[in-house]
Amino acid sequence: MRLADLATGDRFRVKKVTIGREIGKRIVEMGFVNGREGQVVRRALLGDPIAVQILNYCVSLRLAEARGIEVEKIDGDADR
Amino acid sequence: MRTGKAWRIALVGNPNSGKTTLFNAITGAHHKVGNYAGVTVDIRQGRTEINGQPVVIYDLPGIYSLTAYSQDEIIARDFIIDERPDAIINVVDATNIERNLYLCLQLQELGIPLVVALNVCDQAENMGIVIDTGLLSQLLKVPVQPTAANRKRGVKELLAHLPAVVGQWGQVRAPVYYGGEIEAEITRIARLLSEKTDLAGRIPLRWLAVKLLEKDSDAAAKLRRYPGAGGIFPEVGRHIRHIEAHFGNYAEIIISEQRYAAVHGIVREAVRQPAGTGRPTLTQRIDSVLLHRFWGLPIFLVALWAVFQITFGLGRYPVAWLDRLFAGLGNWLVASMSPGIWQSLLVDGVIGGVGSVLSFVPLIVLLFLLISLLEDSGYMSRAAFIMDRFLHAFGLHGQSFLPMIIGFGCSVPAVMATRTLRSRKDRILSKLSLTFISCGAKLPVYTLLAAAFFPDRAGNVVMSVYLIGVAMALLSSIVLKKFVFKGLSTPFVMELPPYRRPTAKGIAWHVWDKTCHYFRKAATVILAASILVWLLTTFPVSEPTAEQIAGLHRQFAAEHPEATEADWQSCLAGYRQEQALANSAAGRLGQALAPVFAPLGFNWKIGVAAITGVSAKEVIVSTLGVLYRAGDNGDTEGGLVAVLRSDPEFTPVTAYGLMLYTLLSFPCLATLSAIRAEIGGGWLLFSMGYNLGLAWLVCWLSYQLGSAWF
Repeated sequence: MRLADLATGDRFRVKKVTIGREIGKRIVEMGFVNGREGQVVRRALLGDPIAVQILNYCVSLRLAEARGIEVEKIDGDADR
Repeated sequence: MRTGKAWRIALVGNPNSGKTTLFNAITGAHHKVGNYAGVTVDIRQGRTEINGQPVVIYDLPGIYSLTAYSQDEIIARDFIIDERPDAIINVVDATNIERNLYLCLQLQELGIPLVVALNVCDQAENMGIVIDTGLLSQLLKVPVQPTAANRKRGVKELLAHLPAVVGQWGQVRAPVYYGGEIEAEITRIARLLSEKTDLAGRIPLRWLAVKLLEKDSDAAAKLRRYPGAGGIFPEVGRHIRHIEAHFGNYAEIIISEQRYAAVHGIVREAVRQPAGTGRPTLTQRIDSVLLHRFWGLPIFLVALWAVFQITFGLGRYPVAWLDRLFAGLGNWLVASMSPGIWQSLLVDGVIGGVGSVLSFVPLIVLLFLLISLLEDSGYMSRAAFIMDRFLHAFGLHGQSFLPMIIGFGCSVPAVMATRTLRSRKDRILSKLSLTFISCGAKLPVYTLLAAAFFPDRAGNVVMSVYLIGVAMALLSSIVLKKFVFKGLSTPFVMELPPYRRPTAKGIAWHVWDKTCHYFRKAATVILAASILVWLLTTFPVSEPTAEQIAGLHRQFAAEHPEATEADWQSCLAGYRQEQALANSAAGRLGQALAPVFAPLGFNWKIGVAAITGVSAKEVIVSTLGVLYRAGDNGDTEGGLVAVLRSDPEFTPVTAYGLMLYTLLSFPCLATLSAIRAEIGGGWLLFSMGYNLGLAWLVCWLSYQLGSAWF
């Protein structure tokens, strides 16, 4: 499952970043590392870009980039 | 430890880590801006003392990592490697310690002496984050000092750590362990580097080896300059393929993940983060309004409208005062100097040119006051989030929106506003595009021509020109993206930082910095260019011959039998002006270029106006006034409208063409010099050629179609 497929409010655990080069690397550097948990917090008017809470901060990505992040959906609205 | 010479200390940290606040707290009011290596990102420089030892502090651009991902990162990295500061203060945001320490480990890999400022630790405390500073310092093997820069807490103590580390280059105290497989590759490449190049003393080879495995384009490009380095690349390629086969993912990603794993290990030991409290933070609550899926856009548009209204509504008054001041200065010079070339140079050249540019200063101050407020509070990145989808369709970045809107007022602040864009290519692209936006100075040209040739539909005609401008800006960015900036897609991985209250000092600094830039430009480039335009329109000086005057008098007397002597004198004065301009270099250039302008339906008079319009777009109106001798007062619009209409060569189709030319041709001198200052002369020439070519093409099309139609 890809980060881009999640709905607003869904929590996820990162499995792997599947795009390379500078973009993929930057995504990892911003905290999308195997095992890390996060949540899709909102999306812009047309559904793109999305805002994601991860590592205690908020980052926005385009869907094109979110498609390069493999995640698994996890339950529990533990911190909502 | 060196004495006598000032220590050079660089501040490095993530964007929004409070780096600049810390810089202000350390240096007080003593700073200035320096430009480095021809790039226009400013590195601020300040001074302080530690126990009598003078220290220079450099505020490097905020960065997330030392990759070659953005211009800012390359600048910071080059500064560290080439300038070799005596030590670094790494500003770490305590509320987001994990991502911030990622950069810290990268800095350490460079072998640079380093002190960590654990900033905004008061906020971290409030959030329930507990950091064992002593243990953190032990694990990182560098001094760690908690600070709260906004309250000036911990700053003295931070500086007190510096003497112990200054100058200790080359010791990598806490190297990241990348795991057996990768470590073996790193060692092999580092050995190759030491055999084939003489870089060993200058850069840690282990760092360079890691960068090469990460496929860092900038590091590879720099290494390629070494004659012996050629043989290294195939080796590196082989090692990368080996790593990728072994781990089943890209090498650059695996290495970044390993670094994060090291960070995670440190954080797990030294930091206790509370489980979610369930209560949304203030920033989250503000975002649920400002970034609301449906309300976010209207709120943004209202904010934009407010910026525009305040800048150009409120700014109108001081601009008018300054205009009057310069006009008064001109009149005073006219009264107190004997008429002649020197008076004309000062009044028409210097005051007319530089004065009209300086009168924009209130707009610059107001606009940057507001932009800095939006930027420092954290709203600007939200605006980019809201607008990105719409602009991305045209190849533009979300943050290009604001500069384009400002461009409707004046292109100069708009060009300067593109500085908020992260990538240089995006900055160039939005500068090239926003020259098509109709600025305020183009409006007098439209209103004159619309009043003269489209009296019944003036509003619609002017509106259509504005819309064509927007369409050209968007279309041209698609085209430029496709052919000039091929393959470029700046990713939109952008932090939405917590909202912070902007500080008066920070805002004042931004405004002061921008205004100074502008002043410096007015005093140099614009002054020179204004004098040049004056020279072209004044020389060579020509006087009508007695014969010409006699001929004109006969004609005048025949046409106006009841005219008085005063009427004749004003007619003669207008004739002199017209002849002087027609015979000047600019006038001759216009006549020489007549074949170029002819396919557009422009006679030589319009051609001259198109040329003088370079100094400022409004000048097109006054030039037409002089050349068409619109009565004793060259720029009386009512008179000019009538004269233009009576010229059989000047049809509505020509008028519309001139409007399009005004819209699309390259912008005024002030804007050109702003563009040059931001992106350099090469791009400026490209931009001018591009604008001119497109303007000609569109005007030609419009003239051919228009003539066939009407």
